[in-house]
Amino acid sequence: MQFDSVDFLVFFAVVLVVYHGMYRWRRVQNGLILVASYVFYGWWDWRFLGLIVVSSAVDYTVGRYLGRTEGARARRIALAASVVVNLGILATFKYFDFFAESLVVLFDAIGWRADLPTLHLILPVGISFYTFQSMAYAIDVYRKKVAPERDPITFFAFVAFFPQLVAGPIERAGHMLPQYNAPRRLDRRMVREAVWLLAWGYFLKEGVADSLAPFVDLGFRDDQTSGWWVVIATVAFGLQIYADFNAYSLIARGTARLLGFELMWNFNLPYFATSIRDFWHRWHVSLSTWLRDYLYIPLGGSRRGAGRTYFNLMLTMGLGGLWHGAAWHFVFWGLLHGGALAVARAYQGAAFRPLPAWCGWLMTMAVVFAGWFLFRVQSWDMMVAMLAALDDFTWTGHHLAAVRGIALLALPLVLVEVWQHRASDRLVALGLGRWTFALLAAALLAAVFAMFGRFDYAFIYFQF
Amino acid sequence: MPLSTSSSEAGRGTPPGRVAAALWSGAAPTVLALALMLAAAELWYRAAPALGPVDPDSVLLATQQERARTMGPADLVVLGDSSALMGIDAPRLGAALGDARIESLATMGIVGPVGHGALLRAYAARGNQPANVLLLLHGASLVLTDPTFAALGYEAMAVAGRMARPSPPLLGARRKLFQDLVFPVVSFPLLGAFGRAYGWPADMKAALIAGRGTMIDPNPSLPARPAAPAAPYVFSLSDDVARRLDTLRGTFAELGVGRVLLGLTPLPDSRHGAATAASRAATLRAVAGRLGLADGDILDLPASLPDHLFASETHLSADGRQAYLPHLSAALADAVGRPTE
Repeated sequence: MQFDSVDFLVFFAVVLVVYHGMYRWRRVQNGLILVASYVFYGWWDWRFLGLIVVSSAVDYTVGRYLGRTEGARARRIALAASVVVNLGILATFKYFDFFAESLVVLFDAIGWRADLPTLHLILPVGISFYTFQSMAYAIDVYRKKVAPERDPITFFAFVAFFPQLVAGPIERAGHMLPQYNAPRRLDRRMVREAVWLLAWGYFLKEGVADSLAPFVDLGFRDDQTSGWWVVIATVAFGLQIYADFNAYSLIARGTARLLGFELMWNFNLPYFATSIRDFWHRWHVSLSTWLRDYLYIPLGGSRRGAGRTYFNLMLTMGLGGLWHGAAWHFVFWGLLHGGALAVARAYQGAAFRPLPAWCGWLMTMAVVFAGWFLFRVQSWDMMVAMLAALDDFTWTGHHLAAVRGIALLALPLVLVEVWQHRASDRLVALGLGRWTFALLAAALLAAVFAMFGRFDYAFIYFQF
Repeated sequence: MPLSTSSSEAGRGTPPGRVAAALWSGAAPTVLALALMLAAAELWYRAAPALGPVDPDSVLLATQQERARTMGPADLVVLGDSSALMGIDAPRLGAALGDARIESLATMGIVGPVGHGALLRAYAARGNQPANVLLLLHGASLVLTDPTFAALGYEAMAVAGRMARPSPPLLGARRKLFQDLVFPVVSFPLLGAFGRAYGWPADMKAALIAGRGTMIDPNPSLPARPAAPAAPYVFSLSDDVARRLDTLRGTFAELGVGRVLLGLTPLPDSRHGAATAASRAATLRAVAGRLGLADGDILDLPASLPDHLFASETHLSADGRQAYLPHLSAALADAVGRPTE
């Protein structure tokens, strides 16, 4: 079930009414969240439910076991079981064919003929999100940062919570489980916040991301011959993916708010970043902090010398790229960011003068948007054709029409984010007067209504 | 451990009455403002229901309407569905027929025979006397029914001569907001293969005009052999289309059309089977009968062509329409009356 579907709107309205009708019984409310989440997820394909049940059951059991076991070896084995099951699910459903096919290509290159089997499995939506969330719980319990959850309904609901199930944010048990065990409050301020998050989120999806998509599709093609189209489509994609993913995160936060939960912010005005490190503090925060806490720091972080630090950065970001999808262009995207982080760290370590903010911003955006090119290309042929097209920068009326269209579509995003940036408050709109706020939110929703289903693109991060 | 997450029933959430009050005070002004905006858009739509063309189908119909109202006399006017639109190369066909002037007003199957007649009527209203008309259809256009014509609205728009389709409440407002408020500000390219081939709606319109009302389906060709065997195509004629053919016959008579020729566009070879030939012949006779045509007015055209010459089940590809050209020119040579070298 997609957020931008009539099915979801009806589903959510029903859940909201029944849910708040059960206000006396928190456990029943958690049970309702669990049932609703499984309905929401099973809407795509009921067979996907098996995986999330397995992942939840393993981590619930591991958590309980860790809670009553002190032996170091036994604890390590229990944690290993969680990691193996969760990564095993990912490896089987997401990466098996990729590695098999890559090995065949590698063997072929060195003259060996290999015929490895492939599984051709359907990739369950959101698999990378909930496996990481569930596995992080087991690690946190192992590290004794979080107490094991005793109630299976609560734990299963935490893993499957439908607002953030398929595209995050990847929540932490320490942030969410206490909310499951607290009364669900809803007041006027929370409703107003939800109205803003939903109006702005849906506008970003329908009015910006999906509306930019036709321009991106025109540019990213394996018979591209225009350098300007490569540049224009890459910029458009950078705007599209931000609007699309931020939209999902805002809608997730808004729907969760109406259920009495507070999800973490996944984005903090990332295109205002003045360094690549700053960018990763603002972009997909739930993943970047996950990679930091569960991969980069355990690898040694920056504690083992410069060389090892650079290696850790490259490995973490390369794997972060692979997390997005089973394809080499995602790995290269991650490695580009890892390399940029390493260079930035080396520059900082060499005690050079800090760059002026505008210069830092320009360099950061150059890296980020070059990365978006790698992220969006779908094949080697497309990448080669588009890079070859950079030979020809002949300007035509089509380029002008595209630039004008993209600029106009991005304008509301730019205006609102400048407003938020200047106020240092992502909820600055809530400070407007009652009717000014209502007019702004209604105008956004009217635009959503006009654009609804016009271009009909799925959320980009569903595929991850 | 820093925090406990054990379940407890202590403490209750916000009761439904207070939830409702929070929802009312937090969301009601926005809902009210939104309702007013949509009501205004609906009124705007009802006051001016004609909408600008933004997608391939509406660009196509609007362009053919404009051409019908503005083009000069032709030796042959082609009417028909999208298989005729994409299956003919009008300039080359004209050249093959000894520089005959061929103009196509072909559109889509969902415009229907009554809509095709309306385009011819617009052409004649400019003082053009239609000497020869070719009605070229695919089998898929002969099985449409009233609900489809009504739901899509293209027939009504063709008859009305403007792009104002009947819309239920709010849908009209939605179309109005997009087509007359958003689209004029942000010009979107066409989607998919049409976007890649033509770019923007204005470019597709220009291509259609340059092609004298014909154009290329830019989708990739079908594979030479289908992945799975396809069922043989069986032609038939629905009662609803039959009734519309009666109306078209009346239009031809009213406009004093010199000669009407009839043809069915080809199928991919993989869809041609034992039942196809007989049903095709019977359906052609039935259509001709409805239009009051003699056997000699039915063109002898190939029933099928190789799959790789098609961009879809119903449309020939760019190569396909060149392969079809000799068949058409041979069949039309006598009728159009300008002998080729």
